[in-house]
Amino acid sequence: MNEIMNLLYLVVVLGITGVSLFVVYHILRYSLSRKKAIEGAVLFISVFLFLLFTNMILFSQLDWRSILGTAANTTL
Amino acid sequence: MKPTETKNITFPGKHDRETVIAVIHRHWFDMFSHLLTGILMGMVLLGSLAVLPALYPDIAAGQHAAFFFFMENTFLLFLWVYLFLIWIDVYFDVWIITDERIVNIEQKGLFVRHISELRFSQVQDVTSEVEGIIPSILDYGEVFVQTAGEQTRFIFRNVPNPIGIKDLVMRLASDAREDDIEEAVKLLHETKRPGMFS
Repeated sequence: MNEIMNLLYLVVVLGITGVSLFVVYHILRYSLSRKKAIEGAVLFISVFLFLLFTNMILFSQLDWRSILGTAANTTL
Repeated sequence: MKPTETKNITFPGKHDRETVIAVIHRHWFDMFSHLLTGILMGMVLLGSLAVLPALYPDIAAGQHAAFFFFMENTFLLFLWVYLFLIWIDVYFDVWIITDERIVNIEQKGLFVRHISELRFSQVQDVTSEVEGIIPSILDYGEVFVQTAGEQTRFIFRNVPNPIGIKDLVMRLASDAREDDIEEAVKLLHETKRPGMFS
């Protein structure tokens, strides 16, 4: 069960990271001012990396067997 | 019109000697209204961090707590990216007025970008429009530029100080026409033959 969730999580992380790369690319490529491009990119990347890092830590602490087992017992 | 920092502005197709006079983005309230859904979702998420554990104490215990915070964090992560996607769509719509032309760059999503330009000599008429209570109070609206080109109407959407922009475009169009007339007269005199203009 944990392996399946790990795989799903990896797909989600890769997806959101891919979209974020597009966001950073657009900010840097299409901003009219170099200064604002860098400020925007730094703001986005710093908050994104913080949220992603904490997300990974929180995910690593989850025991899916316990969570899904509890959920199944509650439903039944 | 509020002076904008135009010194270091560059855009695709800018000529070397072209001077940027104004860079116009959509009005801040228009951007805010696009971002409002995301902002409200963020407030609900942050509020739920305090409210849900109080209403359902089981959420704050053991694996449930870890799962709860994981889901909150995941939603926040997606929301952050979503807000920036909206921001890119709205903020990167820009109208650049130079001493030669108006350039309109419209960003539609991540993968579609339209760039159009209008030379001042093609400007026939300029109209500004402010409709509604909030646009009237905050002074934003649309500017319509009637053209002689393929694209018959050039539109500035939800821009601040539309009357100021209209006046600026009219003045620049008038100057361009005077320059064109002067150039035409000069050319005519250079090619003058005996008997012409006697």
